[in-house]
Amino acid sequence: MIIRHLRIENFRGVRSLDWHLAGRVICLVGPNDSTKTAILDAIELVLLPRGYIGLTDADFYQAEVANPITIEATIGEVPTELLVEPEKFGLYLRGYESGKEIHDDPAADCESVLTVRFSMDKELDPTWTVFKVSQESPKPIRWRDRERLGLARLGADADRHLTWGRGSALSKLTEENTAAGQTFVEVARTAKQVVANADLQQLSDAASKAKESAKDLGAEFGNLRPGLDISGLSLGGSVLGLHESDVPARLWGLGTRRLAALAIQQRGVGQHSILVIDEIEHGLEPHRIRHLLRRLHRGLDGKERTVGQVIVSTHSPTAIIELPIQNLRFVRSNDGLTTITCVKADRLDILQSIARSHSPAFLGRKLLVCEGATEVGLCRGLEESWARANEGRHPTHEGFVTIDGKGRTVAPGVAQELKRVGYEVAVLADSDEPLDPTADDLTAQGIPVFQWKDDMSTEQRLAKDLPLDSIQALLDEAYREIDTESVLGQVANFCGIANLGTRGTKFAEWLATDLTAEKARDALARAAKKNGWFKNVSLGTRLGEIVADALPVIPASPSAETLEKLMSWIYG
Amino acid sequence: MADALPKDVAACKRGLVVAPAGCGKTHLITEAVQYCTGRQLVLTHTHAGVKAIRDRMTRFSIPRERYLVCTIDSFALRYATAFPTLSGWTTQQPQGDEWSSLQPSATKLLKENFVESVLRASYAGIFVDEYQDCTVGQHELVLQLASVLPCRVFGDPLQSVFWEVNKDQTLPWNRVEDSFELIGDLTHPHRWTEANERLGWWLLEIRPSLLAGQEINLAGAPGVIVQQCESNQQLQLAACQSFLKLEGESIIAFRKWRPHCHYLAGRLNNAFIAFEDAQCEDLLEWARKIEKTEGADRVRLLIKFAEKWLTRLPAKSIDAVVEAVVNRKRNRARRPDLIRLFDGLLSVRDNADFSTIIPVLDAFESLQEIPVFKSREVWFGLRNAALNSNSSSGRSLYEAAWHHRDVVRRSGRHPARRCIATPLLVKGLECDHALILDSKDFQDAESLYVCLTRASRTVTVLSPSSTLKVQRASSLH
Repeated sequence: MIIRHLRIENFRGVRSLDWHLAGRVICLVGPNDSTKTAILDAIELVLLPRGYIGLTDADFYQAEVANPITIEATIGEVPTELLVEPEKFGLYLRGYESGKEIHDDPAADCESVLTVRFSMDKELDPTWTVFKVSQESPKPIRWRDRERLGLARLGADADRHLTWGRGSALSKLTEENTAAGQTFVEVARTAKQVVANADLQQLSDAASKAKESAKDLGAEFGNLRPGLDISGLSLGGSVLGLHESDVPARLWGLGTRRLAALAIQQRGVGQHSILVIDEIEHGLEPHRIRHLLRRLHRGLDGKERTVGQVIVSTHSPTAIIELPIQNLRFVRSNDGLTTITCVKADRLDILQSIARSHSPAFLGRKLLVCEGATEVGLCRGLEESWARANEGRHPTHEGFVTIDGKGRTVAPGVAQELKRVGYEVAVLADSDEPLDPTADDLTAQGIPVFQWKDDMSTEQRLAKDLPLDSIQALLDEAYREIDTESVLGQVANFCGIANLGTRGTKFAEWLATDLTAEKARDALARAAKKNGWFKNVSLGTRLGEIVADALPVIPASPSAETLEKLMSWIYG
Repeated sequence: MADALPKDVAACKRGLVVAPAGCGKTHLITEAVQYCTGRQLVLTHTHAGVKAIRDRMTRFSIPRERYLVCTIDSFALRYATAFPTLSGWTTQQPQGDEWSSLQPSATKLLKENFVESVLRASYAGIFVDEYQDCTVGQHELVLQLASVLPCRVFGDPLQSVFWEVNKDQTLPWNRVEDSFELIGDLTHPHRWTEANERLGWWLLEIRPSLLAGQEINLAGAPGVIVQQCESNQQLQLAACQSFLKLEGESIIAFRKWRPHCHYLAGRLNNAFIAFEDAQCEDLLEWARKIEKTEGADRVRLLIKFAEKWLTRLPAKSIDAVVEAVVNRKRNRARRPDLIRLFDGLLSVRDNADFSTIIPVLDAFESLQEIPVFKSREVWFGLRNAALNSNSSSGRSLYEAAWHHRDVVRRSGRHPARRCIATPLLVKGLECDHALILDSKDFQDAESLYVCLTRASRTVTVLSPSSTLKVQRASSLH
């Protein structure tokens, strides 16, 4: 079974969702209020392999019960047993044209699908039906038949599946349904026997006293004695559960419990199941997350999954690294309208490399695509100062993440695609060479572009604007990270002064009639840019820190102006 | 040999059983279904046929999940309406000629790959009963089904009586033989075993002559009585009346056309009931007409309805009542039964609600002249429709009549102990005695064979000669 399309109306935070799932392995990524969990809950609800649910007014969108909840899942690879007509749904088949449309009849180039609809109105009376326009009325689908659709959910109640409680995966896996019941009967009998045979002198005395008093009132008993009333022992199936040696499952680690529950469910419903997992990383170390995802994504033979479906949500960078980017779905919610997008086919490659190198970026909200590593480092160095300037709120709390856009021809495309899948995106770029697509194009698409005044590179702009002691500080960092001789040599090349090193290591010492301060600053900037000094992470970060310290001294400088705008965007 | 047949049928992937009347065809189908694995789709033509097979399955305690019985048309309709874009079929309740265009639409749909998987998921094999009644369109639909699932068909070329109905859509028997290999023949006349077994064997013996369109000699046939005469209405009435003294035995009197049946029923003092077709066409037509009228027009139409379906009405008295009702004059009638009719018609005139029709129908029935029904079924069908219609809730008289028709078709009908019918209407039914009121009615071998094989005890024929000349329907049409 595979869900091809999902429609939700008025369920929890979702006023409306219309989603073509397109894939066997799907990972929902999105900020906390993006309704990911509501979507997974809706999938569980519409395919619920049970008859009972406990929805309340609060499960309606904005608790507005006047608008009924509707969830429609259109499902392909329908099990044969459900096609039997007229009892089942063979004559309710519809056609799914991949990624485009649901046709009411399965035309030649369409996949045969069933649309299952859950609906509930203000009476809180749930109905499950199979729906087809040409049929006069929708046909109810009972939970036994919904069970055949093979939904398995690993949510908050994972522990339930590790016991033989009612409806648990373990119970379903137990071939003889009466096996668990028989065990309880024997437990109860044995317990009764143990109590009957015990020496319970004090209890027996009390029983004797009761017998005497009762006789006074006219009620006569024969042998009145203490015994175990087994109906008082609550021996629900849930007390019979898996143990490792003597340790009951509920005391296992969270991750282990979830993995075990998942395994049991999958075993029960088989490979064709639709597996729904909230926050797949919950309780798992990264290596176990990776292993689990790999196993869900590929079979033991290493080949990609060809049956069933897995739908998970995640907040874990590990999951984002492990899954191919085409499996990620970006969930956004705006005024109750939930949208889910995926990366376009022609952008898969560049975004895949971003996902591998900047996986946390996909968990952020405000993504700054930097033209290169220098700008990434600069921002990192500035973050603490931005926090100080904003009542201690760190940029990461705003969901701010920087991404190395790998140059002026790549970064704009990355920004565009990230914007398209729903992120708030800006670009920080040099101004010495134009972006492609251009800054104007990006701005027109709602992507702010932060660039330096006067068509300068980052190094040039900063070298021009920073006070002298900041320049010296940068130089000192460069000496330490690279080595003094190389740094001096590189600057010398751009000054046209062969033996710059003989003048000393201080910037101020270089200046003479043949080298103005302006020329020296420019030479320094060019040397730094040419040789990628600040592409080094620690040096790049130091650059940012030095700039942060200097900004209060040069509040009116063009650098400060650009960075001020950037900060406003982050906190905007 | 005979015992092997059910197993042969069950094992056969595509075959034909020739089944003369009364030789245990339904029984064979029931047995064969038992030998099959999986659920079998059993198709037939009429709702009466569906009920007969279902009843037999129940009697033999075949689990319900082993079979599904329905008519070919309802099967085709179920599929065609489910996928209107692919079948091109959108009519939910086809009527009259519309049915004949249903099968090509359904056949087109059945060619879709996904339908094949639905069929395979739903059924393991197919049985088609009364195959001789198939139209060409139905035959093609069955062939399409047979390309997907094992398919066995049962029929008898001598019981093919739908030439007049099906016309050029009639399926020639040789096409059946070309499409399905013969599995075997039924050869034992079970229906006659208890009452008149020799009649049963004789009916099997004359089959070759009938099939060849030759003469049939009734003289000396066991249980066959020839009343040699030139048949006329007087003789026909007398012949019917001669059966009134038989207590507890059933009789079907045959005429070729339904108006003749209605006429005779009206002359026989309610002793014989005219048998109506399950499509209830007369009822639907009247319900539609009555629904469209109101006031004085509806009053007049109800009188016409009564004149059509009742005999012995006091025409003059009724005219006077109607005249008074329509022209808003005082009623001069003094008879309580006429006053009752007057009151009834008055409220029909002033109240468009269909429920006002009921007291009028009842008033007619209780006239002191004791009117005789030409067709009880049409009369009470309308009364039932009026009862179940509701002007305020929007269920029209016609809709209620349509519903009545559905109930009749689903529940099946037990023929009255004495009825007058055409062979077409009672195909598949059984009685003790058959009365062929005019041998000239039935010159085709098929109609004659159907009449002759209804009765298990005696067959009486009003005929100028004990030798009947017959021709195959195919050569007559």
